[in-house]
Amino acid sequence: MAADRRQKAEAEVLEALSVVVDPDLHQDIVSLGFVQNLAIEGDQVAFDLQLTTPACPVRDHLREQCEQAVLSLDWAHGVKVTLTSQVRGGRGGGTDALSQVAHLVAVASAKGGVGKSTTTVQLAYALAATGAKVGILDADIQGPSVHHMTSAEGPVPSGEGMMDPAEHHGVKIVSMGFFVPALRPALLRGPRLTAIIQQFLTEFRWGELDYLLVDFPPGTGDIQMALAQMTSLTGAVLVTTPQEVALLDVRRAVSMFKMLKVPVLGVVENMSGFVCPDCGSQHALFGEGGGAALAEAAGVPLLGSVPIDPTVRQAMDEGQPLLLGPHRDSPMAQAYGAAAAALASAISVQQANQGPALKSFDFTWKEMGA
Amino acid sequence: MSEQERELGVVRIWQEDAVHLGVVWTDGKQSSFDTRLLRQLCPCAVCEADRQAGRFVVGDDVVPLRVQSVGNYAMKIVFSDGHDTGIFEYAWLHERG
Repeated sequence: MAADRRQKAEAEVLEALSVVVDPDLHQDIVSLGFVQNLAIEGDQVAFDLQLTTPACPVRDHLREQCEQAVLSLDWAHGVKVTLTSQVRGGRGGGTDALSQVAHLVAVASAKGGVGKSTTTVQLAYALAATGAKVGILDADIQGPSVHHMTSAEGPVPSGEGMMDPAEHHGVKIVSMGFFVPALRPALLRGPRLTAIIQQFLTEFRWGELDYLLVDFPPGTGDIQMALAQMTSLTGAVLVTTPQEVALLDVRRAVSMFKMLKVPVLGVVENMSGFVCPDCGSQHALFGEGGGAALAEAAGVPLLGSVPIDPTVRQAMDEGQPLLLGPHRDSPMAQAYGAAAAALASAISVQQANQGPALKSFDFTWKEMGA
Repeated sequence: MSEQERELGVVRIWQEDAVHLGVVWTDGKQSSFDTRLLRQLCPCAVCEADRQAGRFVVGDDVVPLRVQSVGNYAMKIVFSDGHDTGIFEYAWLHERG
């Protein structure tokens, strides 16, 4: 009898919760399987709300809606919603070292100097600040900069076996910069570059990660091809500036990812305005609306527009995660935080739309009688 | 992303018998490929050049050794004659399967 009553109460709670819809996935939270560990004691209801990313921008909104829905039942007088998250994804695909990486995300631009590495680093820290497990793979073998921007201590090459990535503020980092002296240029030809990328993907213990951001070198060459072939990228973020010439280049990058069947998740526009250190007002040095125009032309969302502020920029170049430091309330820090949340949403949506396709496969052929 | 059509992908892939490769695609289509034919049609630059020069010769006893995905868009087959540079794109296979 008691069991019957409990079952009935649980069904009522689930029905009440089924009016709550995830605004990104356009589906109710019950059929999405977000409601877990439902427990009812008398008039008290408790459950976990398992979101698809800890960086969910609408988490508090969803929690409120859940509370209201449950309290609308006449017998329920208390509700406790615990927010948890499980980043859904397959595997990085391709290599065993990436087998516990839920999402590999390319951060790319068709030309240099648009703040791509800066964006990679700040997006990574912003995602990590929400509780996600994050790594950065600096794939710009010939012009590595991530090691410098994070002031992380490099891993010690052991010569054989697997290596551990460097770790800085909880973010795992591998960069060629750890292995070559700063002033010696990495003079390498295509096949060697491909081999190094392969090592980064297979010989480091990346472990369990929600997001591994891959800082792509600018352009469309050997390294980009190798990454797109050796891994299964969840998608790509394109970084641009408002100038028209940069937009032309990004359009080229869009078509490269299209050919490689890597979905473009969105655009981050840097230098979208200049924050005057004297008066605090913003000036559009490079024109306005370039990122929005590009996003529209490519049919992808604008994840964020980030202004440039000379004082904050300096802190960033010295390896400071903006959201963790004294500049956390600056327009730049807030813009990167918002862009990271928008990226996490775009990944969740992409995952929901992707359907049952295999991320990767690899099997040996057996001898069989014909 | 939602208005964009879903990319063609592989839902299931398996060895059917001694020579045939089975694939179920994301659009529901099911294909069966004769791997001997795939070796003959190898799209890599070397085979392409050999074909154009009229010196493309592959024995009909060549079988696959290994089948691997390549990124999100293709698969690679390692053949018993040592040839493994052919990248078979999903779109190409889907059209012929």
